[in-house]
Amino acid sequence: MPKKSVREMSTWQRMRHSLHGKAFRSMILLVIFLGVSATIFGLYLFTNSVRKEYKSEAWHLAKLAAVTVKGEELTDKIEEILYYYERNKGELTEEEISLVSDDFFEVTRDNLHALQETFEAEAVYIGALDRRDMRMVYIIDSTEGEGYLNPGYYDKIDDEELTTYKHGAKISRFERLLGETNKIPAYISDTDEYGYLCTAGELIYSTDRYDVMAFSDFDMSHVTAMRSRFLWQYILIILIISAIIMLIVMWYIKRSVIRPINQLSDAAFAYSHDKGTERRKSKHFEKLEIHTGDEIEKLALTMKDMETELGDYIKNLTKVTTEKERLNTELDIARQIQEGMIPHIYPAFPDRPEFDIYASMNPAKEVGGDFYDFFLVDHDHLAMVMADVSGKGIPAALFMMASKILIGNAAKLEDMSPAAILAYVNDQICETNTMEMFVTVWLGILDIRTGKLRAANAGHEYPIVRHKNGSYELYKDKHGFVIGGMSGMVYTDYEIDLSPGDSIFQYTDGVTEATNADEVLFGTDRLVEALNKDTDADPEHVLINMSGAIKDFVGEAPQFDDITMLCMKYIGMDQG
Amino acid sequence: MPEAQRSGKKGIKMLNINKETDGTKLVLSVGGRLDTTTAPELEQEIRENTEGIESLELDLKDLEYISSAGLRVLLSAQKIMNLQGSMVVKNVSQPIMEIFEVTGFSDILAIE
Repeated sequence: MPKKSVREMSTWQRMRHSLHGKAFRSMILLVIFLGVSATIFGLYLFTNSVRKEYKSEAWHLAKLAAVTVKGEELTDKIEEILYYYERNKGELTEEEISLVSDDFFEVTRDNLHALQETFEAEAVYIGALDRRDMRMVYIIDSTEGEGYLNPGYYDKIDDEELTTYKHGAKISRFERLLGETNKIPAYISDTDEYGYLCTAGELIYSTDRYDVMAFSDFDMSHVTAMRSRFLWQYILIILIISAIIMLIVMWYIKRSVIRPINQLSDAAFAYSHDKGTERRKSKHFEKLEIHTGDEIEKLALTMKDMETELGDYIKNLTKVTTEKERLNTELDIARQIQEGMIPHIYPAFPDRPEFDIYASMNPAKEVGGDFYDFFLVDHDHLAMVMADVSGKGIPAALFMMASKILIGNAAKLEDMSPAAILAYVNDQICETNTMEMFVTVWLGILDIRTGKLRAANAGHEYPIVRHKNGSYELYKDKHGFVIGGMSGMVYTDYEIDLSPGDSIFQYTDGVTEATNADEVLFGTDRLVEALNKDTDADPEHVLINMSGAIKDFVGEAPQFDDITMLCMKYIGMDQG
Repeated sequence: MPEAQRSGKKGIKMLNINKETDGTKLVLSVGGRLDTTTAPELEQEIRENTEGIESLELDLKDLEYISSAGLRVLLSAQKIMNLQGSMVVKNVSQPIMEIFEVTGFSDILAIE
């Protein structure tokens, strides 16, 4: 396994490790291995075959020789020679040699020589195997010239050679496997004296001590030459054939495996280099034409599908993201519309010194369901509204807008007390309230001349009132049902007398239910406590203080609900 | 047979609803928090199980918190039962009772 990843390699290393490189090297190794094995085996078979031929030929010649020279006269001659051999316990003397080399001897020798020439053998001769002394005793040798062996000349032989001549050569297990059954009495030897020879023998006759046989010798050095030539031709052919096969196989592998894989790899690479949204229309895998009919084609098709699916997904995602951005923009505009609809310019009534009023709304989401409102019903009456729609976000915001407008319009109608206004608005809303939302409302109308505050409460929080020089206290007013819950509801008016310097504070449950990380609620107690920390603060600062107090309390926890507050200080007519 | 159900994020039990019915009366024991995320579950329970029910009882013994979303569900349940029978709310804890009083729900719901 290479230590580096593919991307870290140099060009040369990449080539070495590439599929192509690997296939190529594998092929070469395979070819070499097969070639060498084939050569060795071929050589072995060839050699064996050739040797068998030689042995066979030698044996046939020996048989022929035996048949040709057989006879009584020969037997006598042989006995004569062996007599001298036995007497000398070895070779014959020159005189004895001359003695035995008579006409018969020479004729026989000529015959043998003729055979030798005809068969192109090395030598054809009569010999006696001396079983007692383990010797081959030469009797009549066809060789002419220097190599001629005199009668009585002998060589030592061993058991194996003897057995071979007498009973045929041992057949190896391997040869038996190849179906070889013939035991040929031929012996192959390689000596300094005689060279590389194949000798076969055929029995003429036997005595107690001797086996008289006709032998033929064939020069095996031809075989060596033949073998070399064979080897080189063979190797050459094998190399050529291997090279051809290798080229064909490589071409095939390249075409059906390496090239498709490279194409896939390239396509994947190109794909990964597509930027973001370009991938919607990516066609890298689409363009591939791989028809190998195997797993690679399957992979290519799968990649094509994946590419298409990814493209569709990205297309969809882009659409969704664009949509989301559009919504966000619209939400932002909606927020601005909401903010614009409720009073947000301060000081709110700069030409009315009789009272000071300040209010704020912080939605939990982009748009909220809380709202406040204040407006002059007429020159002498100030209406204040604090409201909380059930829920948050867009649904609450829509309902909030509708409610605010309805309440504002109703309040401006003649002779409607707060309770009447709430009942009127409630019935209106219930008519079209398909989603069954509701809104809690506190509505107060201040008579600016007298300081009398008439109010009604539809399921909203208790207002907090501070009478001058006193502290802020929770005012537990009578509560009617929430607006939008059920039609036909009745509400109750009540009155609070405000003297100059008195303040009233209203809020939504986003203030009292502000939660810190330990899941503790802010609560009304803490609210009143925070208000009383600075009882003389003007409305604007009251709200600032409260904001700070809530923020301190909540800490890191996220804002869960809309936080809306309103503070009004009655200053009175005399300060004008 | 009473069945316990789980709801809420990350496997934390936010709302538990136990159901017991004998065919004409349905008792729902609601425990935990009834807010924007869990209210739809109660709403679905009521919608699915109030067919043919003449008496709906909501046991709020284990209810810890209710928001306006929860109030909405109670209101719509009240309206449904107004048409086919009656509804009663039981075992309301003090904090929940305060919410009912402030929002005027104490006048609309039958509380025992």
